[in-house]
Amino acid sequence: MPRPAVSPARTDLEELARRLATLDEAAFREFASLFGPRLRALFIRSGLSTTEAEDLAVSCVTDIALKAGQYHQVPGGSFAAWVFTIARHALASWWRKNRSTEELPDDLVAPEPGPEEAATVSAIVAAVREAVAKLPEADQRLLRLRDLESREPYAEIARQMSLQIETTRVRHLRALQKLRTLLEADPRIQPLLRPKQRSSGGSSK
Amino acid sequence: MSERDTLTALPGGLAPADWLDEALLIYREVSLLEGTGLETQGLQPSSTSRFREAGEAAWMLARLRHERQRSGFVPLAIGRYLRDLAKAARIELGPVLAAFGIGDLASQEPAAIRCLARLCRNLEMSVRETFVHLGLGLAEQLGVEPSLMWAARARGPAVHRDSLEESEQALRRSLARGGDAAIASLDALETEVLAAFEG
Repeated sequence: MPRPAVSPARTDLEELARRLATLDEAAFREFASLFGPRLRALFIRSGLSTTEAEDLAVSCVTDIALKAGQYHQVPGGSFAAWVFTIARHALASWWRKNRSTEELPDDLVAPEPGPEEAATVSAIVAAVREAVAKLPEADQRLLRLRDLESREPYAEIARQMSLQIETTRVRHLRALQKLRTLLEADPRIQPLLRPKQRSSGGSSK
Repeated sequence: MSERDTLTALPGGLAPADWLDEALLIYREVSLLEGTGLETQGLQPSSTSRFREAGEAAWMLARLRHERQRSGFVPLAIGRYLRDLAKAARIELGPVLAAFGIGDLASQEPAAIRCLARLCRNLEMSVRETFVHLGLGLAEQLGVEPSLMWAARARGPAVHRDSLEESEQALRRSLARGGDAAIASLDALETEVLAAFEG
């Protein structure tokens, strides 16, 4: 069954953003307890060690909470997308500062987010969410397990869906192809289709 | 046609497009921030404490910032200025200082100056304002602080820019009374302040 376009959790996050902007002390505590672990997990996924990820997440909790007054909800946008945008830039700065002798990740972004970037991220998330909802339930399940909510190996997905591994792989690629066709026609995805413009400071592979 | 034949016959080949990979990555990471329950795996109580303290420090900083915006620039040595701000904002200064690695507000060690300058930057002070606050702290340490009469005048209803310029001039005159060593200390302080704002 397709998920609702706006989950209660997302609505709560918008309310949390409003409370942060009014310097509500409890909102700062709530933001730290919700987003600290999530940012840490995000940074671990991005290749940082547990210690590095936690240090950066702690720094981001303070910085992002202080910037919350600058967040303005736009149609289709979300507070989580805005947080993600800032966190991604903090990660880029971290890489430049701490791993300057190593090859930088290909998707490294500029040190400071532009004002339109969070809206673009929100639009991409909304486009993917809506496109996935148009797919058959079996395709949605495959994509959730493999691409959207986790990165399960084919063997595990095959076990969960009672399929052969090779069949799972083929069905997954078919589902991806359907998703690709739907998204290619969506103007919100256009920023991803344009050639990337690299900012100063990041070397490319 | 077998499943394997279908696989190779897919338009675009076996690999999904780069842009699709990126769209899925963005979706996955924003979803993580929206909350999936996965984030608490392997989280130690010490990590929870660190996040809580970061949230508390952010709230205190936000209160200090708010108070600073309200009061504007006041030519006081950094220690006195921060204590006054904290009192007006009704917060404890200790956790904020700890969050920035500041142990002693009067320390003139380069690393300590840089930490203080970072705090000033976070309170949205300009480089020049930070330089004056820290410079007045240095002058106080050296016993060559500008006269109270000047300070009182600068706190008056003068235009902010004039007040800041007057403070900078008074600070440099005062440090000049301390001789070459005092001037060198002020130059070193300025270097650390600039480094904190550029970093």
